[in-house]
Amino acid sequence: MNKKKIYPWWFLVIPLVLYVCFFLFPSLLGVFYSFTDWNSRTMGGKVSFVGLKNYIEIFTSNTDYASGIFNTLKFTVISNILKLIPALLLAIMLQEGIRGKNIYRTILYLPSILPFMIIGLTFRSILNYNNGMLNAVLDALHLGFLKQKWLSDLNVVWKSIYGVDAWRGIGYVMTIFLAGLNTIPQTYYEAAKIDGAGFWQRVRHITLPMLSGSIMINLVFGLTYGLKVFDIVYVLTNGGPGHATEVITTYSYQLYSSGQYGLSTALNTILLIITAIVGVLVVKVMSRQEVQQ
Amino acid sequence: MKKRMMTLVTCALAAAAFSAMGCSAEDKPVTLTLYGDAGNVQRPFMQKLFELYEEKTGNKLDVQGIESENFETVCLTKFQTGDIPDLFLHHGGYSLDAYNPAENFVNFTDAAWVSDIQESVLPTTMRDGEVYGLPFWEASYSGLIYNQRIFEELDIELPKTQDEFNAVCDTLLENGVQPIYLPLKDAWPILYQYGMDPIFEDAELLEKLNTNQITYSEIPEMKAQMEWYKMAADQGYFGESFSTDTWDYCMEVLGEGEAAMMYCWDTWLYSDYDSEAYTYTADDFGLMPAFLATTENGTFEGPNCCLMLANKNSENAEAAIEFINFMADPENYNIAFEDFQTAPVFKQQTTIQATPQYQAAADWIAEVGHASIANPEIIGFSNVDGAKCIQELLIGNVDVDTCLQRMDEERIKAAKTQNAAGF
Repeated sequence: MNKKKIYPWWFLVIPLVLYVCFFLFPSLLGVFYSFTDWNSRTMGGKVSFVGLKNYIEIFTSNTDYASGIFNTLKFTVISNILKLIPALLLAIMLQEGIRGKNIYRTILYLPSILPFMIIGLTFRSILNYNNGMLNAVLDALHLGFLKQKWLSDLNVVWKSIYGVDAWRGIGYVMTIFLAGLNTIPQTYYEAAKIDGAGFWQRVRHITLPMLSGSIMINLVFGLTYGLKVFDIVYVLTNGGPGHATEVITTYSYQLYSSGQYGLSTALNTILLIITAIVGVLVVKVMSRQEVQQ
Repeated sequence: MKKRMMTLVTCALAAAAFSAMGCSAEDKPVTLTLYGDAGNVQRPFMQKLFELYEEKTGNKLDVQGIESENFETVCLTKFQTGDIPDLFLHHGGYSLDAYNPAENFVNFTDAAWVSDIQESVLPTTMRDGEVYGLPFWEASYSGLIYNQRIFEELDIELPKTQDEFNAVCDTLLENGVQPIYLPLKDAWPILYQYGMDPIFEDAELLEKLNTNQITYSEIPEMKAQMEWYKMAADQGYFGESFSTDTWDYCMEVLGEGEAAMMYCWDTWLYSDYDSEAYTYTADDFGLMPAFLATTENGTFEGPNCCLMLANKNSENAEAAIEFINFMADPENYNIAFEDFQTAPVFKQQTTIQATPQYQAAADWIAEVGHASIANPEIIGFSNVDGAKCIQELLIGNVDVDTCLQRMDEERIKAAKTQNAAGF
C-alpha cells in the first residue's frame, strides 16, 4: 500500500465547500421545502409543514402532473434510442474510408453547437402547419397527403420533438463514438479479416465490445439530459397543445413562476429521486462491466 | 517659472474637476427599463409616447417586450428572483396581486392625474382601493368582428340569438367560408372570458366563486360555454387547422376573407390591422356581440386597460414616477393618441375618435354590453391557464367536465398561493 500522499488533504476543502454550498445544501433545502406550504406569500418564517400534501397533489391532481413525469421518462428512453443507434451507425460508417468523411463529420456535428433556443425557434417556424417550410415543400413535391399539424396534433407532436432533438444531438453522440472507435487498434480488425470475419461480424465482435465505454458515456449523458429536458420542449411547444407535452421541468417552472414554491420543489424532488435511481443503476452496470473487462 | 506652471496646471485640473462635479446627477440621462407584453409595448400610441419622452427628456427607455403566451410566467419568475424593472406594463386586475403591488409599485392614489381618469376606467387602475397604475391605453369594446361584405354577399342577417348565430356559422360553412378564426395555438386569443362577463355580473355568484363556495364545474352556463366550444370545433366553425392557428396569421385570414369572424376588440382594426395589405379594409368589418352560449343574446365586453406601473424600490424610482407623470400630461397623451380611434380613457382627451364599428353598434352595446369581470374580479383567474384547458378540450384530450375541473384547479391553486380567504 502506498502510504505516501501525493496531494495534501486540504486540496479537497475548496471543491468540498463549493459542492456542499452550491449543490448539497440547496438540494437538501429543496427536499425540506417540498414538505411545506412555501409560496410567494408565506415568506419570512411563516412556512408551515404540510407533510406529503404536495406529493399527494402531484399524483392526484386534475392537472395531471403524473403525465409530466411519465412524459419525462418516455422522452428519456425514446430520445436516447433515437440518438444512440443512428449515431453509432454513422460513426462506424464515417470511420471507414469514405471520401470526404471529415466534411460529413463536421456537418453532422454542427447542429449540436447551436443554442437550443435558436434551434427551437427555427423549427417552430419550419414546422408551422399554415406557412411552415416543411408543409410547403411537401406541397411543392405533390406530397400534400403527408402534411401534418406537426406541433399541435396529439399523434404527431412528440414525434416532432424527438425528431428535432435527434437532429441536434446525433452529431454530438457520434463524436464520442468516433473518439472511442479511434482507440480500437486496427490490428484487431486486420486479424479478424484474415480469419475471414465479415463487416457485421467485426462490428459485433470487435467494435461493440471495445466501444462499451463510449456507449456508457453516451448513455449517462443521454439519460441525465433526458431527465432534465426543458428548453427544447419549452421553445417548440411550451408544453402544448394544452398540457400534452409537459415534462417535469416545464411544470416545475410554471409552478415556481406562479409562486407555488412548495409544489415546485416537490416536483423537483421527484426528479432528483428518479435521477438518483437511474444514476445508481448506471453506475452499478458500469462497475460490473469494468470488473468483467 | 516651473512652480508657476505647476500651480496653473493644478488650478486648471481642480477647475475641471469641480465643473465635472457641478454636472449633477439631475443632468445625467437615465435609462429606464420597461417590461411589457411584446404586442402591448408595440402599440402605436405607446411607441409615439416613448419617442416623445426620449426626445423631450434625453432619458432612454430600455423596452423589453415579452411574448404574450408566456408573459405572466416570465414576468412572475423575474419578480420572484428580484429582477424587477423600473417600469412595468400589466393588464391589471386580480392577476396583478401576484406581483405584490403594495410592496413593489408606487402608490399613485394622491397623484394629480387620478382626477383626469374617466370614472368608468378608474376602478381598473386599483387594487384594494389604491391606484397603482396609469391606464395609458385604449378603451375598446370586444365581441366578434365580422366581415360585412361577406355577410352582404351571402345575404346573411346579423344574428340576435345564439341559435341564429349557429345558423349563420352553418350558412358560412355551406358557402365555403370558415366562420370563425380562432388562434387556438396561442391560447390567449380564445378570449373565453367574454362569455363569463354575463355569468359573473351576478354579484352573489361572483362572491361565492371568490370565497370558494362554488366552482366553474357547478355553474351550468360555464358548462354550456365549453360544450359550445367543443361543438363549434367539431362542426368546423373554427376551420380545419384551428389547433395550429396563431394570432400572427389572423390579419391575413380575415383580410383575404378566408374566415368571416374573429373574437376581438374594435380598436384592433385601426391600431393593428393593415388595411392596405389585404383585400378587405378595416371599414369592411363590423362588430357584433360574442356568442358563446352563456347568454341567449350574446355579449360585448367593456374596456380593459393596461396599466403603467413604477417600481418603488428601484434606484430610478424618481425618474420612473416622472415618466408616468409625463404620460399623464394631457399635452403628451393627446399627441400620442392623435387620430387614434378609441373611446377616451382620460377626461381631457381631445384628439381621438370612436371607431365606426363602435358607433354602428352603440345601441347594441348598450343593450347587451357587460363590464369586464373575469380578469379584474375573479380571484385566481388567468386567461392563459384557462385557455390551455380549452385547448385540451378542443383537440380531444379531455372532455368538458375534466376541462372545467382543470380550470377550477388552476384558479384555486392561484387563489391559495395568494392566501385568498376561503381557499
